[in-house]
Formats: sequence, C-alpha cells, structure tokens
Amino acid sequence: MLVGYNVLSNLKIYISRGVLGHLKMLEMEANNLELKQQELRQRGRQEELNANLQALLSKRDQLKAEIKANTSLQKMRTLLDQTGVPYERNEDVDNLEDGSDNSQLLLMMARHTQLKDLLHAHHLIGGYDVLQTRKGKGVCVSLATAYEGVYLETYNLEIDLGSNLRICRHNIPPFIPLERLVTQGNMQTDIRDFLDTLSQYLNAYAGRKQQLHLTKEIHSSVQVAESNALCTILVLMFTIPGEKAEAALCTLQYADHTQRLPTRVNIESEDTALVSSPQWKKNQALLLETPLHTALVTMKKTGSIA
Amino acid sequence: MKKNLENVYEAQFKALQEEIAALQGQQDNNEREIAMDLAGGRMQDALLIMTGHQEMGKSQRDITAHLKTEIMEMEEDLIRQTKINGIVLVNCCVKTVEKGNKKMVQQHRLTGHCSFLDFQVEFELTDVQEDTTLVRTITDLNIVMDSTEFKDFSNFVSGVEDKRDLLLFFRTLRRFSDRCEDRRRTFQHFQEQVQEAVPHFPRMFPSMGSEKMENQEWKEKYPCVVSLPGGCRAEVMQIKSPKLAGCALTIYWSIEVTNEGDITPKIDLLTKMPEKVLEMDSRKVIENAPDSFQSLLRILGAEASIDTVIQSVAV
Repeated sequence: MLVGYNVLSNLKIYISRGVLGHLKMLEMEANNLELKQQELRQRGRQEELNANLQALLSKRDQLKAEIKANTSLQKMRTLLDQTGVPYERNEDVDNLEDGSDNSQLLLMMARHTQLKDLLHAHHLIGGYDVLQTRKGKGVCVSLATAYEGVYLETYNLEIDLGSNLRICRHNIPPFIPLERLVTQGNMQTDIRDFLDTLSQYLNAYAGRKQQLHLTKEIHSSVQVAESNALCTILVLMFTIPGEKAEAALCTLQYADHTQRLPTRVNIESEDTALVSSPQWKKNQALLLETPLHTALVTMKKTGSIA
Repeated sequence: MKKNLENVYEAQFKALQEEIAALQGQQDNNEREIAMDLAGGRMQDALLIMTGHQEMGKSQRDITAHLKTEIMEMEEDLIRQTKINGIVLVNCCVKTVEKGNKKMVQQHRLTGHCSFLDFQVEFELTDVQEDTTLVRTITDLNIVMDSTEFKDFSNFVSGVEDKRDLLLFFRTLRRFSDRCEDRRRTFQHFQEQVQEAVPHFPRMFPSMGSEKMENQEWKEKYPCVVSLPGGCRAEVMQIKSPKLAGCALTIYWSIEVTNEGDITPKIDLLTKMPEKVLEMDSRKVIENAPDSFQSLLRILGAEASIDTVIQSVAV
C-alpha cells in the first residue's frame, strides 16, 4: 500500500512537476511573445517615426530647392527687365550663367514670365487683344470699357480679312452707331482709329450707364422717372427738404454720345422761385460738369435735395 | 530608453516642422515681392528640372524646345498687340500686396512709350470674386511723364489719376501722340520743302556754274523763310519774309486736351508787322489775316493752308 502511495505521490509530483513545468513553459512563452510583440510594436513605431521624419526631411529639401530655383529665376528676370536688351545678345546674362544647361533654361523661363506679364499688361491697359482666327483669315478684337477705375463690359468684334475688311460678328448693342462708323469712317484705311472711335462710344455709354447704376444704388431718395437704353436721356425726381417736401424734376440730356457728361440740364418744379435761386443755378452747373452720382452727393450736402 | 528615443524623434520632428513653416513663409514672401506667372505645363516642367526632379518621359531637350516655341509665339503676339494698341510696353513688374480666398490685390509698374512720349505708370489692381463674377477695380493710379512741356496734357494726367481712369489715359495718350505726329510731320515737311527748293533754282540760271555754288548763292540771297525755333516737335512755326525785314508770321499749333480726354488741335496765325506796313494796309489785309487763315483751314486743311501762307510770303 505504501508503495502504491509512493507511486501515486511520485506520479502526482511527476505530473504536477510536468504541469507546473508546462505552465511555466507556457508562461515563459507568453512572456517571450509579449516581449516580441513589444519589440515589433517598438520597431513599427520607430519605422513610422522614421518614415514621418523622412517625409518631413524631403519636404524641407523640396522647399529649399524650390526657393533656390525661384530666387534664381527672379534674379534672371530682374536682370532682363533692367538691361532691356534682347535676351539672345545679353552680355550681363552671360555672366550670370554658370555654364550649365540649366542657365539656358533659366533664361528662357525668365523671358517667358516677362512676355506673359507684358501681354497681360497690354490687356489691362485696355488694349484690343487682337487674336488671329480661322488660320489668319480673320481677327478677333476686344473693346474694354471702364469707369472711375471699375472695369465694366467687354465687347467683341470679329473682322474678316478679305480684300475689304468686313465685320462678320459682334456683340455691340444696337444703339451704338456701328454701321455708320463702318460706312462713314476709316475702317479700311486706319483700323486703329476706327477702333478708337468705336471705343469712345462704348466707353461713354458704359460711363453713363454706370453713373445711373451708382445713382440708383447710393441715392435711394432720388427717383429715376425715365431713362433710355443708350442712357442719353435721364429724368430724375428730387425731393426738396422742407415742410412741404416738394418735388423737382430734373432732365439730363446727353446729346453728344461720345461724352459722359450731359449737354443740357433742365430743372422744373412747382416752386418756380426755388428753381431760379442761385443755389439751384449752381446745382445746374454742377450737373453739367460733374458725374451724376458725385453731383448728387454735393447737392445732398448743401441741403438742396433730400 | 524608449522614452528617450521617442523624445529625440519628437524634438527632431518639431524642429523640422518649424523649419518648414519658416521656409514656407519665405517662399510666400518671395512670390509676393516679384509675382511671376508660372502657370502652364511647359513652365511647370521646366521648374521640375530646375528643382532637380524630372518627370519620366520628358527629356530636358523636349522641354527646352517646347518652351522656345511658346516664347516665339508670345513674342509674335506682343508685336501684334503693340501694333494695334499703338503703345510700346518695355517693362512690367508685378507685386502681390494681398492674396486671399476671394480677393487679390496686385501692384503693377509699367514703363513704356507712345511714339516719343515716355511714361511710367503704377497702378494697384484689386480683384474680388463676387458670386459668379470677378469684379476688377483700379484702386490707385500714379502716372509719371517726361513731357512736362505739354501743360494741357499734364492737367489731363492729374485728372485721370484722381479718377483712376487707366483706360482713358492710354486711349487719350495714343490720340494725343497721333495729333502731335500730324503736327511734327507737317512742320518738318515745310522745313525740308523750303530747303529742298534750293536745288531747283539752278534751272532758272542755266549759265551758272556748279550746283554747289548755286546753292551757296541761293542761301546768301534768300535766307530760309521757315524756321522752327523750338524744333519740329514744338508748337511754333515762324515765317519770315526774306525781303521785308521786321515782318513775321507765326503759326501756333496747339493741341488741347480736356479732362474727359477730348483732343482738339488749334491752329492760329499771328502777324507781326512794323508800324509803317500796318499804316499802308488800307484794305486791312494784315488785320484780317488771322480770321482769313481760320477760313482757309476749314476749306483746305492744315498743310495746304500753311503752304498758302508761306507762298504768299516767299514770293
């Protein structure tokens, strides 16, 4: 019986040692795994950080390279602007070159930006932006309008370059005397003078229209009773400050369609004494010499109108 | 240990971020100082080469060739625009003052000339994106011109600066220079014509010697009738009779410019005669000369009228 007991207890011990050992082995393996995972995570983290760092480094280097290129380009461009000599024969430019292929490219890039700026400038100063169309058989011309610094509508003409110049397409409003200018003007002999005259009409129209627009916007107390499409006749109604709140009717006539100021100003009111007063004589003169919306500001300040 | 490493990384990261921010700021600043239009495929390709990157399939030679073609096309375009606009632009520098989501403000500095009239124009352009349209306004205008002798034109220029009417300035500049050219051409024509009249004289004196001597004699006997004391670009032409001392006719050719840009050439004839001659002028021909000249102008135009006056004096 004791032997069996010993065998049993030995077995138990043997088994428990095994289980324990196994457990211990498992524990060790688990610890190892955890360590490995930690290491992996660490390495992953390191790689991630490294990658991020690398990305930033390359971004920084990229920026540095761009700044360097840009600065060289700006220097070259400034040189071109200052010397004003055709860039193929420029000695100063040669000195800037470092003999590499890139300096030739840099010069060309500078010239490219210079030309772009000059062409854009031609457009901004109200140039005609002439464009060749239909393989040289026609040209497209743009007429820009502006008033008091604000760029307004642009109108276009397409001209057929036959034996006789002929306008084949346009978006010029019908109340501008285009036909008359073509037949009675010098389009065939001096296209620039013709365009200048047309531009005068268009800019005058744009100016009058803009004055009306600003008047409506700024001076809500002034009513526009009548106006025509060409903005050459304007009838306004003023409210005269005072107890009676009388009204005055003002008619502006722009007989010269190339002008932005009226040729005639007529003021009527039931209060005839008012109309012939020196203050209103001044207002009449003001309206003849000053753009409408500006004249009205003065008239409000002096208390002539509400 | 790990904590230290992470700290090191973090520090480096932060330093790099700061460096990048500073560089970005520098780049933005540079781009504002000298604003250049670098848009377009060709320029972008070229830029890549300059920064050391190069796209696969695009050799430097190809890119250079394409850029060259574009440059040539733009140069031709510039010639066309210069011709039709009658304005030569020499330089254009752009500076970006403000750049936002919907608003951009740029300063443009232009130098150039319209025939003999040099200009330097600085203007500030404001572009605002409003709903569907772009509203473009000139918010400041400054014009500098050499020709201060044209007083009328200077007044016009100040007016145009106040109203920021850039387009009116250039439209008027062109027409003004055309009228100046008319005057210069006519004045120069008369100055040359009178000098050219010299070689014709030998035909009337066939017995005379060499042409040189004939010219000399002619010059001594008949001094130049027409003189331009201020040059052919000035407003004044003087006509003196070679035989009658003290008798002078002056043509004043002024070119008026209103604030609205209307250009009116005005040609006046003034007479200067000694008392004795005026006394003898019973039919008041000399007194009425200025008015008669105006009538002539209306019928014959400038050149023919002046020619008539010169002929009447030279004989």
